[in-house]
Amino acid sequence: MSEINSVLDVSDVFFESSERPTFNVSNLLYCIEPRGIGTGLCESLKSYIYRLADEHRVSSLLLYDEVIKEFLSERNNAWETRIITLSKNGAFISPSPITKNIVEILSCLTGMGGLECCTMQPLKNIVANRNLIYYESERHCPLCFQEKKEFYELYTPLLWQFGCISVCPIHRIRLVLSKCGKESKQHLPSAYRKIYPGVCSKCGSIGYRCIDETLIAASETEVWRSLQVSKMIEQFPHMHGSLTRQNLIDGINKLICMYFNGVKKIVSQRTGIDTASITHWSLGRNAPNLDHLLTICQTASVSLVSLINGAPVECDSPVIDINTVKEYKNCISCDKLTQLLLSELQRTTPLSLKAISKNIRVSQPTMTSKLPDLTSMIVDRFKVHRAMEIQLRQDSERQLVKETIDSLIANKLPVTGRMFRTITGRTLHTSGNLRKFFLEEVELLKAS
Amino acid sequence: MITTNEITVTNDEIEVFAKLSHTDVLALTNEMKMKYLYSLQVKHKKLERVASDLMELISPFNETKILFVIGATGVGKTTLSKRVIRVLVENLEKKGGNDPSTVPFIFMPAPANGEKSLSWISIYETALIQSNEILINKKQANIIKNGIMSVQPKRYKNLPALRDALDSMLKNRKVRVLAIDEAYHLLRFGDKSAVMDTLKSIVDNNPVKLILLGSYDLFDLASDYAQVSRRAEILHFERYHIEIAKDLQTFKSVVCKIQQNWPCQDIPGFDRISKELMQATLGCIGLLKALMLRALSMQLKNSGKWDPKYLTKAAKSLKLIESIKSETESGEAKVAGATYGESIFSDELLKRVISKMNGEVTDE
Repeated sequence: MSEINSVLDVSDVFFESSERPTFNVSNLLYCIEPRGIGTGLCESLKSYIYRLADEHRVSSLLLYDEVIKEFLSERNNAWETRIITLSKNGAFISPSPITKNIVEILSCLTGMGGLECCTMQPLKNIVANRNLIYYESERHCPLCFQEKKEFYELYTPLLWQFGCISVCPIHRIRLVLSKCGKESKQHLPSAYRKIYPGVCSKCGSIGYRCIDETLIAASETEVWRSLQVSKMIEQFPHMHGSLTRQNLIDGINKLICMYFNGVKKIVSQRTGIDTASITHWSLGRNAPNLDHLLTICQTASVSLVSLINGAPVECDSPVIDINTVKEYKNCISCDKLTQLLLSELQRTTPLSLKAISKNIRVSQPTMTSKLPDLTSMIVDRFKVHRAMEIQLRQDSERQLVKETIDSLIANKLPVTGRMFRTITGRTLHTSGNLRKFFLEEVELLKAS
Repeated sequence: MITTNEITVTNDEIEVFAKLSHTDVLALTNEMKMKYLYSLQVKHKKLERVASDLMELISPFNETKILFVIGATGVGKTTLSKRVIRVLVENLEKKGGNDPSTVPFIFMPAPANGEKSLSWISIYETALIQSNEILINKKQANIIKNGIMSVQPKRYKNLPALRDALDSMLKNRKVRVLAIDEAYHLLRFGDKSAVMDTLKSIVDNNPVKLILLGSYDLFDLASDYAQVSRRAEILHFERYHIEIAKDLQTFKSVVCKIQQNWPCQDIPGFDRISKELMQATLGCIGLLKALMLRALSMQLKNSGKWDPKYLTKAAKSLKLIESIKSETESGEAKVAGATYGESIFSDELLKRVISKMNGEVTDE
């Protein structure tokens, strides 16, 4: 009996409320762990939110708008907070105050610590924000996705979001833009679409198998840079104390002394970076760009993590070619760009600079700055072509109106917009040229 | 007059009641006196036995996945499960294993809304509400087919979506025990096999134990389904039988304990009529409490003066008690030999087995 007594844990007479026993859950959201935390392929916060929404079986947009955003507005009701949507990549991974707020809210709602390692928050005030994030589109490594057997193993690493990274350090191939490869006819209706990391939001293909793109092998330099950044991400959970601006300044100064005889001009000559910029960084006036830091590290054969920690340590690195230094950013050489633009100039139907930029994946400012003459020729050629095209269309429309009105008069039919539509099958839209020409012709007719 | 349906006692109130002396209780208002008696529970042998068995079976080391707690109406099944879950919660809190993101125990009633197709939706929805789930009305199930992932179009709150969400909740909230009170409502959902298939798939997909509380009707659900029988146990919460001397004695002690805590100056001599009370309540402690609550209500209305005539109205009508009795007796006959602990190793065989194991006797 003594054993049984201990089970109920009450005296002979006890009191029981009419309320059902409930368990107070202080965390509103499930406490799921980010994938790959503490490794170079740590999950990005946006991917974490997508997976969190999936675990709750709600759309990620709803989770953000109806839960996370509510808490975010309570904390910071600034206009920036109000306009943030899940499509704004920067708000969820950048070293901005909004990202910090989102991380804190998510940590509070899920009870999961260390979420700042899924963002670029640890790099706040250490490296410059410019070009830190790849904004153009989401990218992925097709081989990384193919390796995952089940859809729930898929996630997007933070590494792929860095602007200076263009390759997968594991498979040594270029990252591919996560844009659906199927025609719009094959896309799922919007009500059926699911947003999940590694799943095409348009056609629903798991692992973006809808993209049929040739895999391009990465260069040694690209792989090295990617590895350096992945090692830095790996260290995020352990770098709380050492990740300071002062440590980086010390690291840069030591590196200049140790590997460039303390002369900034040598650094500039060997890396292609302005001497003034290097001076500013070494004095702590402004933060260096991560891309530039990688170039300096590669030139001096020093690991990025050691430089950031303030004690540069040598490591193996591929030999850097000064002529190609500036090409990493856009992954295209000047010669190749010239060749591409020349071929564009030979095209019978000229394209706009925007369309060319999209096709060859080089930004318009880069093209303009690298090859100003060629780009201005392309712009002028397109302008002329466009003007001609407009003129031709207007002439044909005027001709059509004239012919139709003549035929209406010949057949003794009323000259009205409805009759015009019946004969030609074209509607006279209020602000369209067709209506303008029609009215002009009618006016002329009345006058005659 | 305050009826028992109107009484709701909060956890804060029971904490106060536990500290009151009998003199303090007498000074309470009539409403509070009713609440006091309503929340008063007496620990008795059968409650302790079933509680002990239940604790044994819901231990993570026991492979039983579905538990049926079956007993007569008013025998104290809900009180038992509430108490057991409270003990489990307190134990977990004492051990410091109270992870704020988990819900180890869920206790919920089986909703009955009269519509077959909606019943499972209501069950899943109630479980999700109990676990403080977000956006319950906007759940969407995933569809994965031929390497394509999509969601059910915006027909929120449908059955697959809620079922999917329930599985995910049980996994993520690390639910150990899901107790469904008034589980006989499940029988009205339609085909028994389909009901059991659904329950089985819930426990198979998740590391959760299911406790179904209900009257003897539940036994049909448990016994007819062989697949479940392997990983299910039936706990019989027995009433006290008037023909058994020990039961009569225990019942009397329960009556005495309630009488000792009677919240009026004028204390009725219930202990002297314990046999008659046992007859009127069929030996069910829950029914005894209900009778006493009605009697107290009448006594309080009469400015605290007791009149034995109150017993006439406090007890259930003859016809009603006969109907409960016949239903209970047929139920007891049905479950005999099928409940937890009634195995092949009972009395005679067990003695022989013990002797054999000690090497005192051999087969030869």
